[in-house]
Amino acid sequence: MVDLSLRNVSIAFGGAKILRNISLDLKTGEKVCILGKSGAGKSTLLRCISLLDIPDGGEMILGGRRVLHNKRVQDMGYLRKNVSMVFQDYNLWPHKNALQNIIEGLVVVRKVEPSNAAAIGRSILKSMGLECKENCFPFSLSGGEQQRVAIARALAMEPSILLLDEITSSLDIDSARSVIGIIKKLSTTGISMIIVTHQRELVREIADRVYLMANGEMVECSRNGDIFT
Amino acid sequence: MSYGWSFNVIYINIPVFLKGLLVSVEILAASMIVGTIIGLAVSILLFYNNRLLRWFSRLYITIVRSIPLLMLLIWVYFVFPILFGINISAFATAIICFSLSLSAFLAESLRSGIESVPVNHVDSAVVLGMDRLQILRHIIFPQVARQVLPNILNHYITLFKLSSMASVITVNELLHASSTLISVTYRPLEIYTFTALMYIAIVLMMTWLASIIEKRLLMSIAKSGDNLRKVAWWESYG
Repeated sequence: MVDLSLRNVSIAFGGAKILRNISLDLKTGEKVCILGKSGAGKSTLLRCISLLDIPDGGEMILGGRRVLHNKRVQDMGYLRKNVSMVFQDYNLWPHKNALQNIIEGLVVVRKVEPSNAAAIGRSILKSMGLECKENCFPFSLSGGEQQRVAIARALAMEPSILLLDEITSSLDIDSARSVIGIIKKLSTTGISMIIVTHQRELVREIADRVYLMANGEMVECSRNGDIFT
Repeated sequence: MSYGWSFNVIYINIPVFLKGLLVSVEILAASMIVGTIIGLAVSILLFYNNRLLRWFSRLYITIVRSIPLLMLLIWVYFVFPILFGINISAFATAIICFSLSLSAFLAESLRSGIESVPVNHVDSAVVLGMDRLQILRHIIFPQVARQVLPNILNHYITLFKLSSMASVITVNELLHASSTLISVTYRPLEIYTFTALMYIAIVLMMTWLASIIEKRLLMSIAKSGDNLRKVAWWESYG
């Protein structure tokens, strides 16, 4: 059981407040979608949750443990173990092939034997429909394939919470559809997800709750379905 | 005016040239190893999460790059013993100075290489839980290597040519051995011409080796994006 709770999280860059007192709760297995215009602070919020950017203030509690309190990171290791993130631009490492991208975290961070990690990586690749692409380098993969490898890389670490940052916005319609299909399949596995997206289809079909952000604030929170009515 | 070339002096003294060449190669090898280690360390410190260390490494690069190599050699060999009472052999002085000079230029090349790695690649490694050293080793340096390798190999080639400067502090490297030979044979044209040819031969050999290493590296670790296209281009026209 790894619940996530944000309390009054704020961040400013160069005097400009990007997030203002954001509070959010994510229960185990829950799928939360965050909507909002560009510049509303959605991606920054995910970066703050993954502690890629350290918030200027507020508190973050993960699985009952306080991981952040007033600018001070208190349990980075626990957060890294439980939270993984997929980026809009895939961020695959160009010098590693698809399989190496997926297992790098397992081998380097979790110290899993490379042969075992490769077996895990291959099974995830298979579930993504990319079993024949394990030796392909990112440049030779399409956008949709790269994004599926990026999702596989995040899933290989077996996170409790998956952060998805506009993962379909760089993709064409067909690629976006295949990635959405994977996220839908994932949503049935019980993994918690915070999804920043503009895809209404994704929101309608998998979100338990939907937040609307504007100017760095949460302006609305509703149960799925209510937001579009 | 006609000059009576006599290359007999070269044949007779081949062992002298080879001994000088060996000293030059020793200087090159030792300076390459020491300079690369220092340069790597300084480039890592440039990105360290400590302002003082960053400032120190930047200062080191600025100062060492600003001092002409000849000046550095003379200062360490002649001034250092007077100021600090420490005598360093000419050979050791040469290695110290060439290593320092190489390290500063190398650190600067590595810095530009490290900065060229997109920050997004680091983000995805951080999210997976990699620490600073793991990110450097597994994500940044493999990408930096292919970016800066040609530049680094050029530094090594330049270093070999610069090793001739060690002659001013009496290191018996190739140029010094040649000059000594001239003072007893009085055949400067033959000896300097042959010495120049030896430098050209070694530099050509290093250039050839560098191109093989670059090609191997491109083929083996950088089969990605533009680099694969570069390999294809190289295969077609190279």
